Parts: sequence; C-alpha cells; structure tokens
Amino acid sequence: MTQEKVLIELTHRWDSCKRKSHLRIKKFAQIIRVIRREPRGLIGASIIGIILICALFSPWIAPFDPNEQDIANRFSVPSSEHLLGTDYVGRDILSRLIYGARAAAIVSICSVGIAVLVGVPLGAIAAYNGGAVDYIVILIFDVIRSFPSVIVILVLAAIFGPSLLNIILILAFTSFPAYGRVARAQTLSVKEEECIMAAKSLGATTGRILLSHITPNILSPIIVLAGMDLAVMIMWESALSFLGLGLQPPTASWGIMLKQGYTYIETAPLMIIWPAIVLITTMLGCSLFAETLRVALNPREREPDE
Amino acid sequence: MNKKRDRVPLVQVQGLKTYFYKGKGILSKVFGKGLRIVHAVDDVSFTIEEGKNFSLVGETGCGKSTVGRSILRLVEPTEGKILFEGQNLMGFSKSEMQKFRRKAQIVLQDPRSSLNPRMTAGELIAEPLRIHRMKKYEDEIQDEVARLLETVRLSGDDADKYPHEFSGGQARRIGIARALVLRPQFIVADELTSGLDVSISAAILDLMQDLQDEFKLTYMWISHDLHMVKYISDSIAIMYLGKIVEIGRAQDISVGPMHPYSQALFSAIPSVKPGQETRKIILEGEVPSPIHPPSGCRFNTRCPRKLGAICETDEPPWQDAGDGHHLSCHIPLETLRKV
Amino acid sequence: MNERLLRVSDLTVEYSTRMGIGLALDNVSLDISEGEVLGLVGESGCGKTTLGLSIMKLLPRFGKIVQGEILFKGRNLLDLPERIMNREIRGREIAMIIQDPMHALNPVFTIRTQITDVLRFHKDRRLDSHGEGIQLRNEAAKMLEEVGIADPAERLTDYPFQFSGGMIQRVMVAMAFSCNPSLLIADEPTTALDVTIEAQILELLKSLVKRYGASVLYISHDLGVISEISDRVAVMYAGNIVEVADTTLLFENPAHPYTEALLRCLPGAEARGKRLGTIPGRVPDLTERPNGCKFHPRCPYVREICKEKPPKLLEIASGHSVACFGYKKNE
Repeated sequence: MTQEKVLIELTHRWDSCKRKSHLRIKKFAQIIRVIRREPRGLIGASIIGIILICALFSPWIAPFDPNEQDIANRFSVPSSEHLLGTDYVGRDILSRLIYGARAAAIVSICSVGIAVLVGVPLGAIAAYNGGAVDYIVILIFDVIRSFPSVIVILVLAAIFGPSLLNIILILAFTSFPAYGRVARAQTLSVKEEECIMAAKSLGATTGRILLSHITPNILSPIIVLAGMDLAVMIMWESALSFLGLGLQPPTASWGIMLKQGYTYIETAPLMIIWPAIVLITTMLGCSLFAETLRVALNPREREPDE
Repeated sequence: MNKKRDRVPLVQVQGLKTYFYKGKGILSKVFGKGLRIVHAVDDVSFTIEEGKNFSLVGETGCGKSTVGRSILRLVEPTEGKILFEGQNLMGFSKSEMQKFRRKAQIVLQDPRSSLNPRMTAGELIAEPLRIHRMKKYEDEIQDEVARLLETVRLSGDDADKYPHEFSGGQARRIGIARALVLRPQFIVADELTSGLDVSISAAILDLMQDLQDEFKLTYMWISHDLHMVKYISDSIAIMYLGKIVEIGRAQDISVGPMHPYSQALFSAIPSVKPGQETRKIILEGEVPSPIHPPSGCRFNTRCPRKLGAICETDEPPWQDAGDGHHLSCHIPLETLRKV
Repeated sequence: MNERLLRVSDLTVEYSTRMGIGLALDNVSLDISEGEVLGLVGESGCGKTTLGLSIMKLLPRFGKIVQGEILFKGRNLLDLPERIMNREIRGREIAMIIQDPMHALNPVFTIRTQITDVLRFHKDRRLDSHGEGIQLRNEAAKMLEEVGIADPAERLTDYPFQFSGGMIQRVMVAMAFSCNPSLLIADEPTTALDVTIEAQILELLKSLVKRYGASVLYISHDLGVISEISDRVAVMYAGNIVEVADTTLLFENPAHPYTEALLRCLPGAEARGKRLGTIPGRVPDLTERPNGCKFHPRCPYVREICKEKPPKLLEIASGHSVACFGYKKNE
C-alpha cells in the first residue's frame, strides 16, 4: 500500500472507531441516567467519588502531612485546626484518613482487577470448550473456594509477610474463583444462544467468538460482582492491617488507624470512631453503587407492549 | 419448459441422522434415567435443485430446525451424507468448511437471540466480511454494509442502531442482510415469518423473492405456516418425529396430501374463506417424545387411519405416487387417494 | 330488555411510557350480544389485548382508563369497586384465557390445587370437612375430563411442567368455564400452539361455548382462526376499531382500506408466483400517532379530510360498520 492509501485507510478506521465510541457513550449515558435517578445510586456514586478524589489527590487535599507528629497536641479534640482531632502522637486524623483512602483504593481496585482478569477468561474458556479443560478448571476453582477465605488469607499473609503487593495478590487469589464461576455459568448459557450459532455459521473461529461475542454478553453480572467485591476488599485491607498482617505503620491505612485507636479506645475514642465511620461509609457506598449498577444493567423497566 | 440441464442438484441429503445424547455422565446412570438418545432427525433424505424453493414443514419437535442446522453442520450430524454441489460435507476439513460457509447461510428464527445484542446492525453485517477478509479497506466495508441495508429495504442510518431498537420485522431483515453479505448460493430460512404480523410477513416474503431473482438463490424454508409454504414452495417435505412422512412437488401435495398426517395437518389450518368448511381431521392425543418414539410407524399412536398391528411393529415402506411424490405408509396408495 | 351482554362506549386508555403518554385505545366502542362470538383482529400494537384487559380491569401499572363506559349486563364495570369486581365479575361472570400457556399456571402448585382454588373462591366453599375436599377433587377431575384430558384423576396430581402447552390450555379452558361465565375473553389462546393442537383447542372451545351458551370475545392476529370461530368480526388498527361486520361479509367484502390491504397480504395458494400485496409504511408508535385517521399515511385512498379529523365508526349497511371517510355517511 502506498503511503497515501495507508493514510486513507487509517482515517476510515479512525472514523469507525469514533462512531463506535459515540455509541458506547450513548449506552453509558443511559446507565448514568439510571444512576442519577435512583437515590441509592446518587449516594453510592458520591461516596465513591469522594473516596477516589481523596485517594488521587491526597497531597493536595489533606491539610497536614499524615506522618507529621505534634506530640504537644496529641489526643486533641476536633478544632478548627485539626477538624477531626489528632491521634496519640499528634498526627492529624483527617489527613491520615484521606491518605488512607489511597491504600483502600489501590488494594481493592488492584485485587479485584487481577481477580477479574484471571478468573473471567479461565471460566469462559473452560465453559466454552467443555470436557477435560472444564473439569480441571472447575477443580481448581472448587479447591480454592473450599477453604474458608478468612483462614486462607490469614495463613498466606502470615507466610508471605506483610506488604502491599502481597496483600493484593493474596486477595486476588482467594477471589478469582468466584469470578471464574460466574463467567463460566454465564458462558454456558450464552454459548447456547442463537447469535453464537449464527457467528459459527458465518465461519467465526473460537477465539473471535469468545472475544467479540461471548465476553460482552457475560460482563453484566461480573461488573456487579466486582462492585460489591470492592467493598469487601476494602474491608479486608483494613482487617489485615488491623491484625498487623497488612500494611505496616507508619503508612496511613484505615486498618492501622483502627488498631492504634483500639489501644486508646477508653481515653480517646475518637481515634477509632472516625476511621470506623469512614470505613463503614465507604463500604456502604460501594455496595449501593454496585446495587444500582445491577439495576442499570438489567433493563427492568419495560415498554408497554400489546 | 426449459431444457432440463444435466446438472448435479445443489443439495442432496442422504440418510441424515442427528441424535442428541442426554445424561451421559456417571451420576445420570446411577441416579437418573441413564443415557437417553433424542432421535431428533432419523434417516432423512431429500434433494434440492438449484434456484428452487424447498420447504420442510412439521410441528414442534419434528426435527425440521435440526435438519436445517445439520445440513450446514452447525449441529454435527450423527450419520449420513450431505452433498453440496456433489461434494460430501461430512468429509470436509476445517478450511474446506470455512470456504463452504461462504456458499451456504442460515437465517435463524428468533432475531432477538440470533443477533448479538451488543453489536450494532452495521457491525453484525460487516462481521462476515471481516472473518473471511473479503474486503481489505474500511471504507469498502462500510459501503458494502450500506448497500446491503438498502437491499433489505432498511436505511443506511440503521447501521448504528442496536438490535433491540428494531422491530421484529426489521430485525429479521438484518439477519437476512447478514446472510447475504458473503453472496451465498443457498440460504436456509428457519421460521422466517413466524411471530410476525401479516403485513410484515408479506413484505419479508416479497423481499426474499426479489432477492432470489436478483442473486439467483436457492432456498430451504423451514416453517410450520402451511399457508406460506403452499404459496412459496416448489417442493414440500412433511416431517413427523424425526422422519419425513411425505415429500413431493408443491402443487401435488397442496392439492392432495396423501399421508394421514399430512392430511390432518393440511386440513387443520384455519382457512380465511368462511363457508368453505373443509372437514377437519382432528388428531387425538399429543406428539410422543422423541426420546422414546413409537415403534413401527411413528404416527401410529395418533393415526386416524391406522390399519392395525402392522403399524405398531413394522416401519412403513416408501411408496411412489409418481412425479417425485413419495410417502411412507402401510396403507396402499389407492386407498389413500380416496379421502 | 337489555339484549347486549357487553357494551363498550368511547373507551379511551392511556399508557405512560418513557417516551411520553400514548393512547392505546382511542374512543373505542363495541358490543357483544348473548351467545355471540365476536372476533377482534388486528396486528401488534393495535390495542386488542388492551381492550380485553380493560374489560377485566386488569391493565398494567402504566395504563389508565381515562374515559368511557363498559356496561356489562347493564352495570358499568368502571364504577364497580375492586372488591366487587374480584368477587363477582372476574372468573365468574367474565373469564379470561391468555396466550402463553407456559406461564399461565403457577409452577409450584399441582393442577388439582389450582382448579379447586377457583372452585372454592367462586362457589364459596370451604375445606371444612374431608368430604368437601373429596367432592372438590371429583369436580376438578370431571372438568379435566370435559376438556378431553386423558386419565383425569391421575393428572390432577401433576404439576404444570408435566403438561404440554395444549394440555395447559385445556386446563385454562376448564377453569374458565368452571363457573359458567357469561362472557369469555380469549386472548390469542392458540397462537403459541402447533396447528393440529390448535385445531383441537378450537373444536373444544366451539363445543363448550355451545354447551354453556357463553359469549366470546376472541382476540387474535390470525385471520384464519378468526374467520373460523367468529360470528362477527371487529378489525382494529392503532387503537381504533376501523370495521365491524359479520364474518362472511367482512372477508368477502371488506370495506375499510386497512382490512382490504390486510386480506391481500395473506399468502394463498392461488397467489403463487405473484407478489403479495404489502402495506407501505409502518404501524405508528404508541406515542407518535398521526392526526386525523390513523391509517391515512398508508392508505391508497387518502384524501385531505382524512388528515384533519378522525372518522367515526358508522353503519354503512345492515350489520356492517366502517370508520372511513370514503363512505358517504361519514362526511
């Protein structure tokens, strides 16, 4: 192809891409409309939004350095300077909460992300191919799922030691079978649909079918599951940090704040109350948002038909 | 009449059998009913000449849809020969099948499920071109899509719409457009007009006939709408529980179906001409399950003209009524002719 | 003496959709006499199911009757409170059979329970004694036998999934006739069934209608079925009734352009080789109905007046009414 032809070809492809993305935006707009309509959606989205902003822009939002100690002012009650008070070494609680959002966000998003990227293709391929592959993959899923996740997480965390990467990998490891299972169940039902047979009749290969036809149709429940899982992962991060198996001090993490506040619960209860409230609110926000997504992705409203 | 050309018929099906196996696992054998074989298609043979309309009719569960899918190997046949332009599909390799796919297409019954709901009409129609790399340049592909939309009497703007935004009739047209993209010679139309309103159904039928004239297509119609079948077919085959019970030219069968099941079927269709009360043959009972088809003649449990024990024990023989009209029944032809 | 069993006058029903409010029924009037089978025919979106549901006052949440009267044996059903409607009318005076047999019955109860439920409710029976239960069971078995189900006593203990579509429709017919209704509304009962089973069910309906002397509002889009079972036919288009006539008259001499066009669309054996007559354009959306006569954008005989005001349903010959400006009476 001459240079000119290449350019023309690229322009046409770009046009197609643009058209496709316009259509995708239209679809998203519809979902966003549902979210805005339901009060749950608004609340959930706002909470998640705030947390994400805190996570991304912590250095600019937090009034104080989270590690800056001010022993003279420790255990102070909320004041105009320290809006939520200070902890046992005088660090500003609000700033630590804002920075803590980072840990929560990173751990939850990464672990869910890895779980999805590993579990979904495994489940889909297993279901589509059937036979021995399916059998082995299910075996793997079931073996992992048969252990109570609490025990597995704690044991693995104890073995591999606390670090951000480790937590992410451990959490992803214990949760990917759930996505695999969902992906497999969805694929099994989508696989029998006529549009797949139509694709086969056109000569589509297995890979193309899996990628272009099956995947988009199985994503809805996976997205909802991921949304709910985010809340769970945030909780896990905090739990592990609380037990000393996760992030280590002096990192600002809600779990660590809970642990440190726990020691002083009788004298300075605010130290534990604030992170507890933030944790609960964040998890609630994620759940609400996931629930709204579920409603938005399932066209529940129907046009009146004859 | 044109000179009869000595060509190989486009499609020849011989002894097609497609069985589905349910309950293969160990648990089924121990706790369940064990291995059950669904005799969906049980020894079916027919021929389709180029440029003609062949219809396969029957009621739910007779296996007609399975026949349509089997001859394109969308469902793997258990046994039999499927000759397309003289070559046996059953022996084709993967790449030969890929090439065959361009010559024979299917339009599936339910447009809601046969069109991927996450793809636009344009993407759906363009996909075969991309799979077979038939057009190299993007603008050519878009032009082709626009051209096909126009051919099926939709507008070019519809390319960006998703299937759920179309009505039933329009969605079916998209299915037809998609089948036409590769310029096939042979199209299987599976229940193309079922569930559609009368006027839309008529429009689709007209479209299909126009396309047939323009692109020299051969059609296999699968339907339970006997009015439509009588109108459009050149030859008709009637199926019951996996077997063809009667086959022949449309004019012969429409006017005088001879097999007891065909007679009941054709008499049962409600006629729009009141006063012309055809004596209805009402069949007793329900269609038996294809897992345990009755022995002997499959229709014997409901046949109003059952001869006797022979119908329960022996498979009925093929009888030739002339001019390509065949049926399988124990009752001799002369008796059958006297309705 | 009120001859008319059912008289619907100027019924207007609105549906609220995401795209706005649409008129599912627009000033619809029709009547049914005692012992008569009225066929209601039209394509999807014409409002025939809505009409059936309105008579039973079973419109979905987004539907509302905004105007009109439904006189049943002299009483206006629209004035009746829900309690009375449920106790006296639904299932007792007016019964309904719906289209989809697979979803008509509750899958977790046996057939016996569902039939005796109906009997108990409408015949004011209580299961006080064991004897009462046995009696009800026998009645249910008798009903199944009446509709042609083999081994009725054993079938009573089956669940709906063990019945085929045709058999479930028989059960529905049995339940519908169990309390000897005056009016039966049949909404496409045979559309989902095979041709031979459809023939069976139609025969059954015809014989039961004769035996019980019930009137029937038979709703369908299948012109063949309508012509077989109806005494009179009403044709609907986009929320209006456009033509009413005796069955034979309608099919031999259709007056409304829509009816005419519809009949030409049917593939008959004589039309082999010729193209079918199609109707240009599309049925208008619920919320985008044209002004004047709703059919005018697709009508081959359209005139100026058709675009301005809607035609009234007027009698042009004995027993034959049309809503069209093409007929002198309508100017």
